[in-house]
Amino acid sequence: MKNIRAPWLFAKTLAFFLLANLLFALITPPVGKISGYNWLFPGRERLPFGAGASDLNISVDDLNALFASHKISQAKQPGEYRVLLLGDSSIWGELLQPQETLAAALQNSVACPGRTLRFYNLGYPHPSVQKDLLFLQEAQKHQPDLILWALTPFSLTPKAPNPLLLQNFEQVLALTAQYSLPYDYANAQAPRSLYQKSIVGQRDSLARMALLQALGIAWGATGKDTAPLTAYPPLSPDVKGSLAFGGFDAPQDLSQTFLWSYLEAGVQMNPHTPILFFNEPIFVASGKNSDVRYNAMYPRWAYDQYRSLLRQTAQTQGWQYVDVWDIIPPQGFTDNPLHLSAQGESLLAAALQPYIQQNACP
Amino acid sequence: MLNQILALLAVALLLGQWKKARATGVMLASVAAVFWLQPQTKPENFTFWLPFASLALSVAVWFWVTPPELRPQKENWLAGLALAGLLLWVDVDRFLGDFSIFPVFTPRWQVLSAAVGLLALLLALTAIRSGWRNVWQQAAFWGLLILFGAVKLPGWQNALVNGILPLSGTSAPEAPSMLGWLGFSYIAFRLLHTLKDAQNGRLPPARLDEFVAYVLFFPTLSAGPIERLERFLPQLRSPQPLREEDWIFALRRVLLGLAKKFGAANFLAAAALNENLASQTQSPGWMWVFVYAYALQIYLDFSGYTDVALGMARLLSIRLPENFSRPYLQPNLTLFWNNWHITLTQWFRAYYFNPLARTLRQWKIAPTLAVLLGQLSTMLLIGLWHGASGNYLLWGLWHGLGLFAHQRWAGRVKLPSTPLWRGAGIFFTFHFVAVGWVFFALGSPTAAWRVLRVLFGVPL
Repeated sequence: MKNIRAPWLFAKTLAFFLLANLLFALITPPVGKISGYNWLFPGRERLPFGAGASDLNISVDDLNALFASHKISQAKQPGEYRVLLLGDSSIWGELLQPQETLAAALQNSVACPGRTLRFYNLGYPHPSVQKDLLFLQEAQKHQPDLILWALTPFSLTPKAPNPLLLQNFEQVLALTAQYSLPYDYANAQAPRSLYQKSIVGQRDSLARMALLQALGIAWGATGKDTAPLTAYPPLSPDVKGSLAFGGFDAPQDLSQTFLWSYLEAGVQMNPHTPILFFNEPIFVASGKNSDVRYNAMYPRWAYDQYRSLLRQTAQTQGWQYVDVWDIIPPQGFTDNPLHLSAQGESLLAAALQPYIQQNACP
Repeated sequence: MLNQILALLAVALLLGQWKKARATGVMLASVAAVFWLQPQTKPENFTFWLPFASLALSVAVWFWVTPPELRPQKENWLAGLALAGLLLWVDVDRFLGDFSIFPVFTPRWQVLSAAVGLLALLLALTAIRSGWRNVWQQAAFWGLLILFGAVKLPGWQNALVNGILPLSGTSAPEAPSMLGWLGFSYIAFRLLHTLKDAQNGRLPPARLDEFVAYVLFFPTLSAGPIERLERFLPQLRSPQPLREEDWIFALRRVLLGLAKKFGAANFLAAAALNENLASQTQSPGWMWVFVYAYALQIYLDFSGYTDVALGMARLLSIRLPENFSRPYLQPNLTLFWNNWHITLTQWFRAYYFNPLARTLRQWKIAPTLAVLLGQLSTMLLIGLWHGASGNYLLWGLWHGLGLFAHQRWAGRVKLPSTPLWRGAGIFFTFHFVAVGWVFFALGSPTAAWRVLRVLFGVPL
């Protein structure tokens, strides 16, 4: 002890700390790939999303960490036919357990003789085709055979950048450049500084990735990634009389509003993998002001226009497209005009089944 | 939380170099920390009144334990003025906009003045008859115990809050939450120690700034250890210059503590036994994993805080006592309790177990029964110290019976001191303690019972 000089020790500690941070920022090691999922504990049924330890789940923004924790990162089995589901919180399964989502319902109901169909839930509670395209690019590594891409008016409209897209800013920029996409984040945020890339700058992200690993134990033990469903207020059949949608207060021409080019990019990205686009079911209100709005999210003028534009675009582009917007009765929804109950998911799975079998069953 | 710890470390570094009016500096930093760190609570104005109560209790107890002839010293008046100035700052802090520091809901100055005036009046009244000092000390001792019970018992707490609400300027009825009274468990035990020692004539006299600095000492505010005044005072008065090994000790303990708390305990929390996991797990193997994770998490979390406190205090040239010494590597339960939360165990031994044992001897109670009563009631009280609920009582009962059983066993059986037997003792003791954490971790005895059945493979 006597041989150690305190100032020297402090200086060495500080130097080591600074050097470690600098190296981390320069190398940007893919820390998210270090994962105990799929070997120490089972891969998750859906991407991690949630509040924290008490919720059995946690949100992480690192794309590597997201995918490494998902069962899609397991090696593809011989004879396996991989069907990926892209979409928002409805596809992810808000308020549902992983065994009750659309992917699970499809897994239980759709089969092909001679093929093992496996459905992978890549939904994520952020309605954005930018996020979907980013996931689709990442999913290329996992050899998909069919892609089911759920769409809504909100997912097709430009949004302020969210933490997930900002954390993967370089990939987003590369995608927008590669496919000449109309909306990018060039002005939203400058490239990350050295500090932002350092251990200190990334401490929150790193801490959440570590917590995700710790949560693998709870996942392995319970097979649950979210707390049991608590009561929620039922959706009201009455809606407000407002015509507002997005930034518009009155009916407008929306033909230039939606980000069709992102869907086009998705098709180009997967020339040999069929993509089945479908328009997500919505809650259709039947009470007061239901002649003005379908529900709290969409006025009729905007939603009808969106459906029409989507159908036309799909026809023009030759995309496979299914519109299942009104197939779920009001009791098939939970707390939100897009969130389905387990029964709602089963109904949706039954509606999509023939289209999936057309693609998947030889 | 990390930012708060780093800020307090910076304050400790600065104060460590402060030579003049050192006790006043530590007192002011500690009182400021009490207000600064107070968590949000309902009713909102309690974020001010709870820290104020901590300060008022400290000042009042100082007044009652200090001989009357020592109270009017110049240093005490100056310390009182400094405290008043700090309170004034806390009160006007809300007007400082971006420079505001204290996230507390401050009262109007008239209300604050009235509260300070009331305290001064109470102290003045108790000073009229100096011969009654012992009576006031006794009253303060029991009053503190009752307040402690009121803070720990939910029913009493609601009554307390609802009783105080109209006095605190809150007219609208609010649903009170559990009081998050920062550090009260530790503050109360330091105050009880000083009152008891003053009654026994063992308490060294302290100035107001020294006493408040001791009771509210900021490194130990939220998680101890419970230092004794007679050890603390000489270090505060005559600090030894920091030597090389002190700096290294401080750096090592702070880094170790931060790593334990933020690098391990926070992550283990995700796999540690809780209500949610307990209700959803059927497999004994996974349940043991959760119990082990909880045992490690609670140790790392608690001892991590202690490490930071010890390192931070060392920057102020104050050597706090250790609170944990490899508790999970002890070969029997008695040794576990000699090495787990050491200062709390010592406190109970000094102020409860030993006096009780003496009383029981005087009553000529059979030795075996006396040991059972002593150990059981001590552990039940330690359980209640954590919270007045059935699960903490069960935890106390578990350990009380365990200690009694060990005491009886150790008196009759002499085990060979081979590494194998020692290893077996460590294994058994750790598992006894780990199973005890099931009661501690879960809110209800029913949930704990369910976990125990899963752990030992008893069909549900």
